[in-house]
Amino acid sequence: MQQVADVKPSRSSVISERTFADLLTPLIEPGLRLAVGMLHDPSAAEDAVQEASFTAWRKLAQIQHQDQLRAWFLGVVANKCRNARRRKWVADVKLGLPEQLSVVSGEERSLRGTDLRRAIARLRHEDRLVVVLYFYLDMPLEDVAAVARTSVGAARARLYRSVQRLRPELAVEEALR
Amino acid sequence: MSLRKQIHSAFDEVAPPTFGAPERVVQTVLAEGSSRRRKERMMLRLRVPLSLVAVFVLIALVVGVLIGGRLIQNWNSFRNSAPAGGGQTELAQLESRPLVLPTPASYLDCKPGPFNQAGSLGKGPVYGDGGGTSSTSWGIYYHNLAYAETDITGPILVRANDLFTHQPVVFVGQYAAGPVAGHDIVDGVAVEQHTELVFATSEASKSYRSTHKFAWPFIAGVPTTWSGSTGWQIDGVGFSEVFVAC
Repeated sequence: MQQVADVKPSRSSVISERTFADLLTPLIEPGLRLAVGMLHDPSAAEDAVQEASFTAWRKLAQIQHQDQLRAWFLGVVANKCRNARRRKWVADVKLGLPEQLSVVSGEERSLRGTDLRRAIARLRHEDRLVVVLYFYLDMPLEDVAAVARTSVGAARARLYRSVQRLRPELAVEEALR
Repeated sequence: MSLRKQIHSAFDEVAPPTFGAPERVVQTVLAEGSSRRRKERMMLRLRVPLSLVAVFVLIALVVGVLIGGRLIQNWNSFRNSAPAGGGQTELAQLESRPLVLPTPASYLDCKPGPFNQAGSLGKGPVYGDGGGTSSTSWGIYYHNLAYAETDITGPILVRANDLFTHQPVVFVGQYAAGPVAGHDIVDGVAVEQHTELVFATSEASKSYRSTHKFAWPFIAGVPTTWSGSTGWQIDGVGFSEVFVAC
């Protein structure tokens, strides 16, 4: 399988604003979902996607294979999230979790969600990325591997390992449904 | 409720509504992108002479690292060969022990562990913790930590294999030892890949004294084609332990 890193630059380095908007707009929403899943902080997530979009503005014209655009852009978002988290880690070791939980209804459900987010936040960046892509963005493993820039086998292994950390009591196949 | 639904529910609790966000993000790029490009072009003019300086500094660094590395290597080999007695003999005996790693039939059969009460891998006396990563075109390097809370006499030998491809995990940097399996450049530093780690309590890192009695930070590498499942065997005088990471 061709990896995203294999994308070759084309000769043209400029695309029209209209083309850019048409190509990028449908990718922002999945990018935001990925960033929220990685950072658990809506404003940091939007910042990461905004930065990724600036990168896309500079480099979009270099993408030859448009069918790889989604995986490439989500990969850029993932890198921005990694950098944002590094900065946050230095400044504030809160893992992006709110100080106080806004429990609107179903206190138990919210607490369970908080526990799960906290457990996912403790995963390593690479493991958290495959979990968010597979479970939250509902992407197939082949696409997860393309975004994570790894092989399908390695992505599957990361996913299995992460599921076992998140829910050791669950059979892996059951958890992957 | 399935894990997928639980994760959707957990993230949806903190996800803001994305209505209008795509347009807002794209418009911000279009509004600021051109001015950012102009600034970058201006910076580029300044960067050209600076980049030449950077290239010279980089070359000087690489030469320094190569010469320094060779000097350190020579010093280590001189120092290690100097005793010519107990340590080397004990290490040779540990190296002669066969690797006895589990052979899971599939990824589903690969069970990580055993873990100690702190959640570290291993049944003791040596335990392992995972850490951050560095990537190269060859593979991924994990910045891990091995530690022990009790005195251990003699050398400690660490070897690891991919449980499915059966390729050895390689080690670079401090504590890497044994046969050279290859070369790579990790975080800008040229390194030799070895197939063994050798620790000694006398050479433990001083940076972890507040948390562990003895600790050895090390870098383990796996190729991009790795399966994600590795078996580790740690041998010392009077003990042998095996754990699985997957």
